[in-house]
Amino acid sequence: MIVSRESYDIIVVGGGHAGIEAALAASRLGKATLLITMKTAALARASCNPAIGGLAKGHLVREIDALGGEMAKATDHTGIQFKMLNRSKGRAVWSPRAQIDKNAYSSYMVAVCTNQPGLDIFEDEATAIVANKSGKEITSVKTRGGSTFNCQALILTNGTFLNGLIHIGSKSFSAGRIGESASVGITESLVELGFETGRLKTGTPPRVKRDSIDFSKTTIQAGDINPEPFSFFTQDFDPPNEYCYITNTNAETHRIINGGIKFSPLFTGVIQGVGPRYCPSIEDKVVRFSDKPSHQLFLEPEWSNADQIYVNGFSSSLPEEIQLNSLRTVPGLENVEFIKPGYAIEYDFFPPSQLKATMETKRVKGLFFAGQINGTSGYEEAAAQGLMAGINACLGIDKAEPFVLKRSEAYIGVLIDDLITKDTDEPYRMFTSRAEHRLLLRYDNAHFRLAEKGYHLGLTKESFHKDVENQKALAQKTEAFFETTYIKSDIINDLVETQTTVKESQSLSNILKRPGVSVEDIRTLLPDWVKALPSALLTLIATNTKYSGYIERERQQVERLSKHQQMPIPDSIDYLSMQAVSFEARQKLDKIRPETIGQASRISGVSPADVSLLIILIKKFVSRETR
Amino acid sequence: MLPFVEDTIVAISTPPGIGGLAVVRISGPLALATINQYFTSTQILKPRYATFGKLNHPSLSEGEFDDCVVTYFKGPHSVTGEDLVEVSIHGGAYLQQKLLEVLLRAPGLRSASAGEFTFRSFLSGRIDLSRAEAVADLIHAKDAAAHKNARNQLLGNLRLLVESISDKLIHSLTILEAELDFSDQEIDFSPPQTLLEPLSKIQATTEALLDTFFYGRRLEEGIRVPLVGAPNSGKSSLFNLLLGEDRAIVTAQAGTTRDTIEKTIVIAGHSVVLVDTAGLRETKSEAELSGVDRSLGEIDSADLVILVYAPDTETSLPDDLIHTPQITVYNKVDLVSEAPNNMDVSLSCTTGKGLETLKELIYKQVINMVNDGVGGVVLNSERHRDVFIRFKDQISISIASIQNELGPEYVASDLRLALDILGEITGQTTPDDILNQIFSGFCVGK
Repeated sequence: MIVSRESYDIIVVGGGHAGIEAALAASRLGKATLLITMKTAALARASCNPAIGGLAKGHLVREIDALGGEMAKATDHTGIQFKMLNRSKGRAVWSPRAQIDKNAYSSYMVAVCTNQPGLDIFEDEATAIVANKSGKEITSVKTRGGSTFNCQALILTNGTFLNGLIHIGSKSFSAGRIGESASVGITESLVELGFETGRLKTGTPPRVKRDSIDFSKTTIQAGDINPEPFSFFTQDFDPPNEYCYITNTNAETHRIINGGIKFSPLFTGVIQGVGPRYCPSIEDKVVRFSDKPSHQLFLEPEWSNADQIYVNGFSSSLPEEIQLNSLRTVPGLENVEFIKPGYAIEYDFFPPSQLKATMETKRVKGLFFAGQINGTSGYEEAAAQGLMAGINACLGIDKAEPFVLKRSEAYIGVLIDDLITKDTDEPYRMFTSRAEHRLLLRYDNAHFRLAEKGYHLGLTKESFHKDVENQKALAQKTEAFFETTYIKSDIINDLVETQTTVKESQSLSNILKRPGVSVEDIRTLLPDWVKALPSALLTLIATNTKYSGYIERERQQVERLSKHQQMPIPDSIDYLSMQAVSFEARQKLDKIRPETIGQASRISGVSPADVSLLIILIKKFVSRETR
Repeated sequence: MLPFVEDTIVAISTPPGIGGLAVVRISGPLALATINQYFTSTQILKPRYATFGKLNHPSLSEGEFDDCVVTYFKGPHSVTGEDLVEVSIHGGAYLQQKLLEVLLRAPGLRSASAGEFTFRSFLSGRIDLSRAEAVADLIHAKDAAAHKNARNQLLGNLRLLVESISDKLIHSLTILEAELDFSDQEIDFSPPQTLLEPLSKIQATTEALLDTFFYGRRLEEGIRVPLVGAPNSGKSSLFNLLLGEDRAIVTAQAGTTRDTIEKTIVIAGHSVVLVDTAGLRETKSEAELSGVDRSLGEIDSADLVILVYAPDTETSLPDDLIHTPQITVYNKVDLVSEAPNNMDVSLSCTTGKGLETLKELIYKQVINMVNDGVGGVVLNSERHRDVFIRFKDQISISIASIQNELGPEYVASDLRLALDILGEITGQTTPDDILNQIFSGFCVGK
């Protein structure tokens, strides 16, 4: 490893999905950056399922891409099956997902990182973080190998490694991921600085041998025939379309699992950490939904032509023997052989209410957290935080305005705002239902929403910015054309088959708004200049038109809300003395110390009445301070 | 930093006029210190105790203030959440005014603006918005029924109703959201069409609730019952008889009553506003003409009309009267040998004959107007009505979206807006509430 210096602008600890985006953003913004990882070859390792994207997560990846992050490009380069989810529904909730070749994905990221100017990689384990005397500002980081590196900003992305503890049945042992050692020391030095810590749990299913599976008893699941790339920058996209396979558990599987429950650390109380409800273990599903006779399992290749298969849906911490015996009752898996059993892992996290919207800790200047250390789950959630932490670490050093995305601008904004205002009691995952302005935040308009910001930050090229600006202008022109161009009723009735016929001529936009009508259906009505638009752009425009009433309504809501949302709360405000605010709200506000009224309003336990009051008290406070 | 110091406010909190007792309230950090300057007693003021003593002040002549009772509530354990002092004095207008003047001269005190005590209760988190509004109603309640309604709201019936509606709505939303967020999983999703039934029920409940508003307003303002008829049919006499006092001027001259006179009586626990009106006839007198106009206006806004007929008078009544409940009275029955049989009641103001029958008829009509409300809630605030109207419209939009097969993301957007509107009454629904529902209802997770 080439380590050129003892002092860096920015140091990133951890080379997972968060760490990579943070390190790349920092170095691309011109900061001398060091990435400390235990193993360079394990950079960007997909430690759980071999897939990127999915519902709401696909949105995050597109946003990362529009801001100049790496995840979408890596996915396009190494994906082996691409699929658009929710295709039967409206565009706002479509979301891309890809099966990736885990090994290729990791290698791609290793290559990008090692070739990135300004980024050094150091193989070691960070064991302590050091702040200045007052404990209010970061100064350096120490490693197990005895090195000390000074820095202006430190981004911790330790994933599940902090005091990681793996459980398989009644066995438990210290590890960060299976086969990799845990990281000890960081939690302790953070607690010493006054940070609050907690424990979470997650799990992963067994990996099995491909040639031990009888695929003839399963259902093939293929990707899209005309797949769309994740990245706005990908050209000539022609990825492979490898199969996944679906099979199902049955009564016998459930009987064996029920018989093994008494050995599951989840049920014996050995596991203290809280696991995610949206990603339950198979034993959880069998116990909690005992009326369901069967659960789906997805057999996913871990890399191209993989001899190793990931059994999605069968996450478990049961003893290996019970995992194996129950799995062997499943059609196609009668003779299945394990490469690795499923396991549960417990790890330390730091409740993210200790962070500002920049991902910097409120307690220590220059110290940032991103990824699972904040109690999130998912590669995409981690990458988004890493990118934002990397950007804000740079802006912090430059004493520039922080970069914070609003809830109405991006899923990334929803993600971070949720993290800093909510009490996480389970690993946090992104869902489209978390975004109250879902119809504004579509996967297909991420560049319209964010490209300009990425360019001004310095993370994307001017050509991309200009291209997006041109597309915006074209979109505006086309939408106006749709509004003002009327088509005679008989032509419409001939062309569009819907239940009701129209009696009067209609504008193109009204035709598009009819349920089930797509821009393809009315293609013959369009002039050549519209037909000549790139198909992705034309679809985006048609979607804008289709949703226009709803989009306008959501925009108005955003405006109405933003009146107080952005109202800053003075730093020095004394919540505890606010006799008028409910006791619970006072405690919560004092602990979280929100930066804006919007954040305050989303803290659980703070009622609308508390917020109205807070607004009044702040106005009073501010006017008194300035008097 | 400066602490949050509220101003100390003072107001007479009993209604204006002469009563047995008057209560002056002081709320804020200076409440106790201020009253201690003027109050002398053998005991010191203790929180939540009423203390007997005398009020005095150098600027007052000897004996101007006499005995009083001061009750002290220490913040935050008071209705405003601040230090609060209630001074009960004898109810003369002069004394009340004098005490207020003295207190307003004390440093740091100011006169409370309308509703400020309740506003502070709301700010202190002691009551939510719907309760704050109910307190105002309770204070203004004129009779038993209005009192009961305000009390129900104060007890949180409105809140319970809103919560039950929003629970149902969240349940519907959950079905849509589960499909949007977990469509890649093997959940049996219900199509949006299955929401039509629960949404229609919510709509019906809302309509029923909006229907209570008419009655709610009547509770607030009283049931308006004008006495209408030809000049000299004896309306004013009947008015006085029903009131049991000589309120209206009665002469033998037709057209004596030029202006409407009203007075509230309580029937079956409800305030009933009896209105004496000018007799209806064609006239050239400008004063009488405008009296007739007012009578017509009264008929317009009436809840129940008492039509008064008498021998030798001719009455031509407006057609639109038919839509209002009415009681027909044949007055001056003592002057004729036989009363017509098409009247509800024959009556004589001179002998009092038929009066009890009339009172009973009015009682029955009032009881008819009683609306038990929806879940114990009768709408009486314009704000709540406005919220429920917008809510109902938004539910209609959601239903239309489902019928037009607009897809779950549209319907979800419609329903979320409906929830937001409902949240204006008690509080907001967060995405977490919806996700929690999904997780408890569906087996999700690959």
